[in-house]
Amino acid sequence: MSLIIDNISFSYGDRTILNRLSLEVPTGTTTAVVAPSGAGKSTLLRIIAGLFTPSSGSIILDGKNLSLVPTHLRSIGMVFQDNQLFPHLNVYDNVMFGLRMAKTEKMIAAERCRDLLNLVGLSEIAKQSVATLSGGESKRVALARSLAPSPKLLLLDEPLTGLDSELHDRLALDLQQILHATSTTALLVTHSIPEAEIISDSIHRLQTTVDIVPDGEKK
Amino acid sequence: MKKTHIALGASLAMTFLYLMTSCTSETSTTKNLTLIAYDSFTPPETAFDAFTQETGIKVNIALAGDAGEMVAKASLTSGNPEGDVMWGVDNTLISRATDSKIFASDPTEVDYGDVCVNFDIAALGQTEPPLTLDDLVSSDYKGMLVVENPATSSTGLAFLLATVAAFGDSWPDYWQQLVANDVQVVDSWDEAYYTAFTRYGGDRPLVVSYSTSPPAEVIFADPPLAKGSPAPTGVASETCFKQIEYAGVLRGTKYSDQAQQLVEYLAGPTFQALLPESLFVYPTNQDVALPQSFVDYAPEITTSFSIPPDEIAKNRQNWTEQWSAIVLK
Amino acid sequence: MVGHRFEMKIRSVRFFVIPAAILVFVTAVIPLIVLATSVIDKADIFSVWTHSSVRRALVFSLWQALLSTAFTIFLGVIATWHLSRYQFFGRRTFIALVTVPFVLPTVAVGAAFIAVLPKALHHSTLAIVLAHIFFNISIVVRTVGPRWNSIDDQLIDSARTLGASPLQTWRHVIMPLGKNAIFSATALTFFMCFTSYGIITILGGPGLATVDIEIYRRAVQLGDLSGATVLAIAQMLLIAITFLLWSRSRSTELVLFRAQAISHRRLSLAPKCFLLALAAFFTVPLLALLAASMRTRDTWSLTGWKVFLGIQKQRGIDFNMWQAIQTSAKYALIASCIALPTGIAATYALSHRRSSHSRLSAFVILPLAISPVVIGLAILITYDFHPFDFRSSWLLIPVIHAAIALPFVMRSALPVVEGIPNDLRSAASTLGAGPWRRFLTVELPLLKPAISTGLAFSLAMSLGEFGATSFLTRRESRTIPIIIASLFGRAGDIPRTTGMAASLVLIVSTAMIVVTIDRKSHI
Repeated sequence: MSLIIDNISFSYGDRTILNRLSLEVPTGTTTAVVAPSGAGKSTLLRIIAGLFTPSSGSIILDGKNLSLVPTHLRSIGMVFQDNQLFPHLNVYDNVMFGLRMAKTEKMIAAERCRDLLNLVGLSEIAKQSVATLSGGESKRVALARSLAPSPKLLLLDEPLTGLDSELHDRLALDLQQILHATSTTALLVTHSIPEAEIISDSIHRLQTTVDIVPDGEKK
Repeated sequence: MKKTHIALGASLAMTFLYLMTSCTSETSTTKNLTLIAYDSFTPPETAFDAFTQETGIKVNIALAGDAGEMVAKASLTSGNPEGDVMWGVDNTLISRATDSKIFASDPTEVDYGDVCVNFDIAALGQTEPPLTLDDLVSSDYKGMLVVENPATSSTGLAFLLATVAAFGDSWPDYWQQLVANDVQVVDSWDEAYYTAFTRYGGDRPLVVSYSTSPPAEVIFADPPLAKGSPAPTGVASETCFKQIEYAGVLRGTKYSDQAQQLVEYLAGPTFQALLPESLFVYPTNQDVALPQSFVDYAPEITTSFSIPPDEIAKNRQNWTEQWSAIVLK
Repeated sequence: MVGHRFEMKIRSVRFFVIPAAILVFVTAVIPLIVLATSVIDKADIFSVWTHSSVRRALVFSLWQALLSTAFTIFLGVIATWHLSRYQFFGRRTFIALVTVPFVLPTVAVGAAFIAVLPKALHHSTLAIVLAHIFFNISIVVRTVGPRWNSIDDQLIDSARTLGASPLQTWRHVIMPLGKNAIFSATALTFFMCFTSYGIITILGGPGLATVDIEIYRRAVQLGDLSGATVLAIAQMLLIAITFLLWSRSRSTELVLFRAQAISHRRLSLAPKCFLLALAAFFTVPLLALLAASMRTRDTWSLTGWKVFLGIQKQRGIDFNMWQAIQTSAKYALIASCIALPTGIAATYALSHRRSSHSRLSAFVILPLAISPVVIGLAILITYDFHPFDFRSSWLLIPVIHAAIALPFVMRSALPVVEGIPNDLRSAASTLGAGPWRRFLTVELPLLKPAISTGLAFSLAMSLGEFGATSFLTRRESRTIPIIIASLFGRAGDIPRTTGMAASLVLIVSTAMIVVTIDRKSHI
């Protein structure tokens, strides 16, 4: 299940945010893209997820061109920078969400959900409202939620930003282990090289191929 | 926090005090009389100047909703009235008013008018206009008449009473014939006149309205009618029910002498002369000459139907319910 | 120590509800009790329901209210979604257009609908439903809009990356997040349609009478005050209980109030067409009214406008437009001066004790839930003794207007008041500001949006109020709606065009007041 990013460009208005970017993520590995903030990292993830349409270039997953495939059919999971947990659902139902969308059989879904909650170490608080969670817990829920529907590819947008340093280090290790244990193909974007080094198998730096545009991330 | 309470309490108390004083001061002078009337009571603003000059009393007019609402209010407050004199209780309501003893003495007749079928001359074209109630059920006028619901409109009630007076106990048969002749029913006079009547874009050339509607059409015509041309609408003069309106001193007023003076003024020639062209009713005072618009355009109604007020009061609910059962099915 | 002070604060804020309670008691509760004890004949409590007209009215009230509510919510939810999430040309104008009708005078809007609907549709259930949609869609936009506006775009993105199709996103994310707001909009819309009076008198017809119309008919045409009062009290209790239960079941969730920049996504063709059609639905009646004010049979004429503006004297029509405008303005200002502080104070009390939310919202709706005829009669016999003989006081009218505006002021203030962070208050206190200083310097500026929305609502409600006003008014102080009604009661071209002109002026000026004052609406 490899991901090939081929010559992607993206501009917003007359600002070029990504310029002919190419990258490959081999199956079963975690690849990190490191760049300073504002370099279009989030934009890249959104293009891969199909939330933005690139001005040129293509995204190829498992040999299949995704240009015309809508987001919800791409089987690409994403962990957002600020988690974006559903406020109207509890922890368990957040994790269940993707399985429910895919109409997975109830028993199987429930079991997978339990497994994932175990994996991220949150089985005790499954019935809690997400409003009561700490930053680290929220991040774990977000991770479990995006892993639940078994995506072919997992996108991680600055997953550890905003956590305090002790939690940061512990979660980085956990993350690495979880991704490894599930042998997920993952693409991580971050501004921190140490973070990338802990979590990922290979590291790319966004430099020459991209015009670095300050404040370039735009919805 | 305490301070907030005190300030809040003080401002509340002041509001109340203000409310009380401002209300009580208004009624305590004898130089003012309050005349209660229905909301379409619109004599010229100067109508009471002569009375004020003569007696030094200022007349305030309190509008009390339509005539029915006014009587409902008055019977509730009978003996402790809101005002001193009431204008405009008609013969369909007067029994209810006298039963609940709202007047200090027998009220005076102050104006009258007729509720009749009106026709749109232009829309009828070659068709001869109707004259009597019997004409209305003829096939010549099939689908032409619009009437008001007597349960919701006093005009509609008057027309129902005309048919009751004309046909006695067989009035339901007459209405059955009207229904067969495709009569349209709407809830109020303004709907009938302004949306169903052909003159205002509807498709019904015959409408239950007033005998004074033609002069109103002339006075309010826009552009004005050419001199000497006839009124655009006419009246079927044998379809009319006579409506008489009364005014009287309310029981419980503190100023009954002055109030009596006001009633006399209302029935007197100065005020009565203003009635035709402002309320579109006829003065009861025989000394008052009719204005030219009425002489020229208001048909003389010689044979209008009537029913004694106590009989109306007694049967009104039955009649309207019976009517609903026949017509609204 | 700190705990103790906090406790004290909460307790005292609770008393802020007192002015609102007094207003409701004085204008609705006490008069109704007095009326009930003096006119109700015990036998009527049961026998009134046996009249076929009462049953018909009940069934029709329910039927048309259900129908109107269903359509209003359906169309309103679709419109609200696009208004609260997308940027497009004319968005602000559109929001104003949709929001304004709610506060427009029914007398004038009825005239507008009569002017535009084909004759075949006058006096039909369809006409009533259309008019109710026209009036009440703004409830949905106003209630649900802020809720949806506060949803982060990325939350929807995250649903899509989890495999939710657009339809599933609606079902599982957007609707659940808007659910409470939609529920509360549904309750209010149903209430407004069920108790509809002005619209039904104009667009209804024989057989199309609501309970309020039946109350009027019993009290006024039949002189059956006892039966009318029984019906009025039954309707009021029903509404109060419904509100109590309805809002109790959903008073737990806090309203998130984070105004967000509208996303830059473009509307696609289908929603564009939908919004365009909706815009037409809102403008056409007004244009028809304009045309009707200048049209007499086959010519165009400005006479109606000239008479209305007092440029041309007309025999038989005698009113002073400027005086009417002054009176209307005076009543509206006084009503707002009462309703605003009362409503905002009560909202404060409410925001500190959410548990009493349902009780209070059921309570303040009472003046609106009672037929205006019954309120008028009840007030009349309640305040008839010295020194409380308020009957002849003109102040009575703005006080009643204030009571009617109260629930709307509170609804618009609640999210704003709740949005003021408690920390901010504490911060101001630690900086040495006393309660009053803190209120004036910190909270008042933050309350601005609540004040402007509340002001717009109370001014507009008062300007358009007809029922209670017509009952208690004086010849020399008639308001514009009263004059419109009396103009439509005369035969002839000029009264008709003048009435249309007056309606249009009332609509346009009300709309302008709402739009200028309430520019900072929350969606």
